[in-house]
Amino acid sequence: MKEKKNIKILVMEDNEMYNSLLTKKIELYTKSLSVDSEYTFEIFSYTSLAECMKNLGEDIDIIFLDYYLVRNVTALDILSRIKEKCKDCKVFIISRSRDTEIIHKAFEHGVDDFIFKGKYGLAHSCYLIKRAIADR
Amino acid sequence: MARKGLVFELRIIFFILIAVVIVAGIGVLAYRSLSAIVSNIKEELKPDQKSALIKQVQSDLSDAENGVQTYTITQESEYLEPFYQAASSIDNKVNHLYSLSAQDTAELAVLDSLNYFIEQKFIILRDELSLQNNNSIELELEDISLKLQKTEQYNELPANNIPATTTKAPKRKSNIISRLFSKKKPVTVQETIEPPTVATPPVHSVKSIRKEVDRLQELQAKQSYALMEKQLELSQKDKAVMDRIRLCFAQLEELEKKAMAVKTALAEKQAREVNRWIMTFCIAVSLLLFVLGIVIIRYTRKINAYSKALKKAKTEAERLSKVKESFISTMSHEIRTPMNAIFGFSEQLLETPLNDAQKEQVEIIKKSSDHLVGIINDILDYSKLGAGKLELNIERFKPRDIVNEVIRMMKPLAGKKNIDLNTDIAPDLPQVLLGDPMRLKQILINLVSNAVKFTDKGEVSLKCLPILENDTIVLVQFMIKDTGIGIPSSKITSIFNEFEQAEGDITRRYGGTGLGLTITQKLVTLQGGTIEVDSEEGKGTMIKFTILYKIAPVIDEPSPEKNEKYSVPTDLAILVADDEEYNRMLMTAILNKWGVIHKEVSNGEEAVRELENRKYDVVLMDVQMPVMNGLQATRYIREHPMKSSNQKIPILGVMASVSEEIRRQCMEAGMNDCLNKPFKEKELSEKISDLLNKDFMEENKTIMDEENKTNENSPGYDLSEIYKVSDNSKDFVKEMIRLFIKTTSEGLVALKRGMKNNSWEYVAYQAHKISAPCKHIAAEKLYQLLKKIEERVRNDYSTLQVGGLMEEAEAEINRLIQLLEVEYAKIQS
Repeated sequence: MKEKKNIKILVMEDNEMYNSLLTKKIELYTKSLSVDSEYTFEIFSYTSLAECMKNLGEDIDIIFLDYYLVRNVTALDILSRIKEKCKDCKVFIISRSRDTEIIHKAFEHGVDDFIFKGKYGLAHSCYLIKRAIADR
Repeated sequence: MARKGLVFELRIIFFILIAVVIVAGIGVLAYRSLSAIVSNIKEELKPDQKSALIKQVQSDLSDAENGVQTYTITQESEYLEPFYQAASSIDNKVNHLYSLSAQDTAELAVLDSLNYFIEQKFIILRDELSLQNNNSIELELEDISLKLQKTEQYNELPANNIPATTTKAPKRKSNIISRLFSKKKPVTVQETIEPPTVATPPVHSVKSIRKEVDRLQELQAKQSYALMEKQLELSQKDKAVMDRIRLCFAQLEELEKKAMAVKTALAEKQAREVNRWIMTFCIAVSLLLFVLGIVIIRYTRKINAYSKALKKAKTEAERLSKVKESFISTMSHEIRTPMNAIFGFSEQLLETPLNDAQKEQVEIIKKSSDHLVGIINDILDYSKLGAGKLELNIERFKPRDIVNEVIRMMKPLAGKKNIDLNTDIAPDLPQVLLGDPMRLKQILINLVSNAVKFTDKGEVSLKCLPILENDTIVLVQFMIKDTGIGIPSSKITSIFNEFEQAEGDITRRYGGTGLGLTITQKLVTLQGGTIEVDSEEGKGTMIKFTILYKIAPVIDEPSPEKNEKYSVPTDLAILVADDEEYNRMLMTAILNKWGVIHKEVSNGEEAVRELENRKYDVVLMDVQMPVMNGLQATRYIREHPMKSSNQKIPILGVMASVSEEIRRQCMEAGMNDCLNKPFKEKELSEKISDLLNKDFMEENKTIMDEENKTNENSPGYDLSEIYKVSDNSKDFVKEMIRLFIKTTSEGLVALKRGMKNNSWEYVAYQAHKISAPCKHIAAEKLYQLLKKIEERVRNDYSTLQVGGLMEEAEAEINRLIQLLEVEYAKIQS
């Protein structure tokens, strides 16, 4: 029997409610995805940036990162630190803002995709997980 | 046409010139004739010198005669003055008359006779005068007779008195008569006075004296008789002369009158002549103008006829071009629809497990269909270019990316033929340009693929350099050079012609429609550039073209990668409406692969019915369908209430035609975007994710209106999404409610603190934080309020303007928390 590959997903969102929502969505989605596949999933969810950075491991595969983290700190400010630690991870930015300038800047900084917290935000996140796995 | 116009103009100018010359002629003639007539009239108005002179001569003559007569009567020499004056002046006057009528021989003849008779007259007058002077003897005689009488008075007074008186009596009587008739017959009267002229005063003796006297008297009588005779003669002569003179005058007057009549006749004749000329000229001018009018009218009619014919031809041509366009677009639709299936399924088939032979075959199918689509696109482009309907899509782009992409695309082909494919992009080429990148790519693909196609060994190189540049524009030159078969020099000029390739068998050997270069050339021209070819048969070809671009600033990158990076969320409900079964199957294959829920319907009516009953996120709507086509269905959906928010659902039109006209119709009907068949999987995913994102943005704009409508009877939140996300896990929903209450009340406290400290950044941050979860319980009103607060404080850098909004938000939060607490309790039980 082949050993299943464990995919580690990290959610960094300081709004507790959205954090829970997203985590729940991912949980349910990965559960369905892991059936009959060669993958298992592990989800780490943080509402505090400090805690998140402390526990950030090298083997994280997918990171969902809120854009506005704490006052005056955005996801782009810590992106390089994250990428330093885990080089191969996919970073997806989540934001309510649709400011195109921010989006362009995010792509320039090397994020892998941009998710809008909206009607399709959760579904989009799931799709990105799927795509990230397919890309491996 | 132009030459005809010129001839016409010349003709008109010629006629006008003639008319002008004639009118000028009339003017000059009329002026001259009129001034001649006027001067004639002036001359005639002057008092006639001749007749005046004649009158003067007449009066001079009568003056002279009067003078002589008066003198005869009075014997006072002063009365002779007028006679002398007349004598001296009459000559001058006659001479003057001569000079006046120098040319008129008839007049001269009359004048000659007049002159002669005047001279005669004066001779007669002089004779009379001299007769008068002889009368001095008579005076003496009278003296003597007086003396005699005196002496006789002493002697025989009565006896001698009687004869004396008798002799005298007739004298006196004649004097009286002469006085009476002096005017009429002056000469006769004078003559009657004259008889007692000769007398000698014998003083010797009375008898002798008497004798003497008698003798004298007798003598005198004789003399006086002679005198009288002479006088009579003179007077007869005078009368004759006077008659002649009068005749002369009459003649002169007659002549004068005749001259006058002649002059008048002349003037009349002149005037008539002028009138005739003017009439003639006027008629000529009128005729000319008439001819001119006819010429102009004929010309205008002709022009009108031409322009009508032209208009007709133009509308006909336009109609034909429309027919052509619609034919081509219909044909391309007909071809594209099955192509879509072939292309799509071969794409899908390649992703399934196949053995090598099958894989190769499917790849060939895919490539062939790819090629066919390319040809159809060529034909469409060509027809659009011909109709001038191809529009450039100007946007910012990176020329380097385009060139590299083209090279990347061509690499496999070149690699297969073992040809080197090199690029050389000048480092000073601006990073970002404004232009149509797709058309540039099309040109480059065309030229580079041609180069690769016609090259069997060696290399193909693509050079790109700016050749002219200022701050705002740059002329970019692209040069494609190959070491291929080349083009014979006789064919170089015709390679840009339609359906023309250098040699007849090229189509067979190398494929292609022969439209590529024509389209390329037209595209280059359309973008304001030029293209030139340099080739040597057997050695290679070099094609250079230039395009003028505006330079765009490098800031604000429009990331073309954006679309590539967007992705389609799963968990969507998509409605597919298409009448072609294989298209639906293709869609199904793709959507299944994505893991997207979808439903298929086969016409617009079914699509509408479906949307009335179930909530969907996106509709993929084929434009051409039976029963109700895509456009009608879209209009119906936009105009009628549907289930949930389906009325505003993003609709992606799927069409086989690439006609701009149909695209415009789609957008007008209310579709959000269009996708051309055949499409690639990537294109579909891009369009859908774009639509979803766009839809989200638009939703935010219109949400307030909807909120105001629904607020009255809805609680202002909706937990269905959370239920859905959690797979109806009550615990999870409860947890969510708890978290919502917790985070929003915390957020509210933080907001209030921020307001108190007037820290706008903090307020914005907190508002942003609280707003996200609102979306998930569909608490739209609160969401909008928070968004407004965030936007306003960010714009104002102050919290001063949001007091009212804050109060509203607080009230809404409190209301929601109350309601959610009730909900929480319900779930618990």
